[in-house]
Amino acid sequence: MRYTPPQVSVPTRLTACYHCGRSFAAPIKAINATCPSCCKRLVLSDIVVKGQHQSRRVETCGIVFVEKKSQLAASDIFGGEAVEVLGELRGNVRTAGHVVIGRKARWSGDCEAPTLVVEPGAVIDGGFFRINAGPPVEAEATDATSAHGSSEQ
Amino acid sequence: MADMQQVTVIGRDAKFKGELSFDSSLKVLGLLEGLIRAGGEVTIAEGGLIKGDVEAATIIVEGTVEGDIIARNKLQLTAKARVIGDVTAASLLVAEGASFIGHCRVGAEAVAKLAGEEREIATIETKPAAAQAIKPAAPKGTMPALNIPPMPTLQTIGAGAVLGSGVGNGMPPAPGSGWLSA
Repeated sequence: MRYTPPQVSVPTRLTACYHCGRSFAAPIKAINATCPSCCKRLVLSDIVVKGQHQSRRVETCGIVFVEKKSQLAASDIFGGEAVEVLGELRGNVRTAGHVVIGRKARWSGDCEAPTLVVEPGAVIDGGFFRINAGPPVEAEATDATSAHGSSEQ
Repeated sequence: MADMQQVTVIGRDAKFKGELSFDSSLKVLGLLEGLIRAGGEVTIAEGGLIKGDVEAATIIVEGTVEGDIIARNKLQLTAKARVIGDVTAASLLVAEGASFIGHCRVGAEAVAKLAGEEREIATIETKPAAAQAIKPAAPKGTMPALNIPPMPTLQTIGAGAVLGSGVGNGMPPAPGSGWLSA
């Protein structure tokens, strides 16, 4: 007699791929996944920056969190759910969620988000902000996609 | 009544074009096209539209601003706010739903830097006038000495002159070639 494994329903959450933008359901406890649409690897866990961190890209479907007295420097930062900065951030940020700039935070770079929270006392050093500005221009989106593709290869 | 805070109101049906400058506060319900400078608070109410730059101590945006904003103290964007332009503020509050496209500089440093830049521009503008004032005036009846560099001496070529071979090619004329010998 053939063994049939019991049907276990795993709780899932809806996640958007930061390479192709397609949404898919991923298990809640998963920390990594492969996009079923573009087959690229995705980070699902939150990224917490303690101390100093420099990199070219910081991307996750979760939250990017920069702690107090910490520094994050990256050319592209993508947080699917949110980007929260209590320390110092240098880089261009995109998120599908909200951006929080804490009262002792220092921000330097561009920002594209549906929602922005700037606490009194925060310092922003003149980046270009697009808050709740609707979908980006088609040309920009295609450029970004091609850039992702070339970097992966 | 006299103790009440003075607030200038631009009504819902009003359309104003020009420059507004005052020490008290302003509430815009209609359309205002031009520059606003206020010492107090500027409120752009829901439905209000400003096409131009706004500079004030405190700015509350509930409507639309198409221009640069300078808030020396605080800038508040409410849920229905829409700002297209650059923003400089000592403190920024953005409510969920607010829309903003432009460059953003927030912090006391940003405002101080902006004030410093303005002062620098002002000194550059006033410098020539100040220099003129310091210059001693020439005594009456005498022409002020002009500092004109000496002109190169010109020699006229007389009738029947024969141009030497060295003319035009940067070479000195050959002796006895008849250069300038009328």
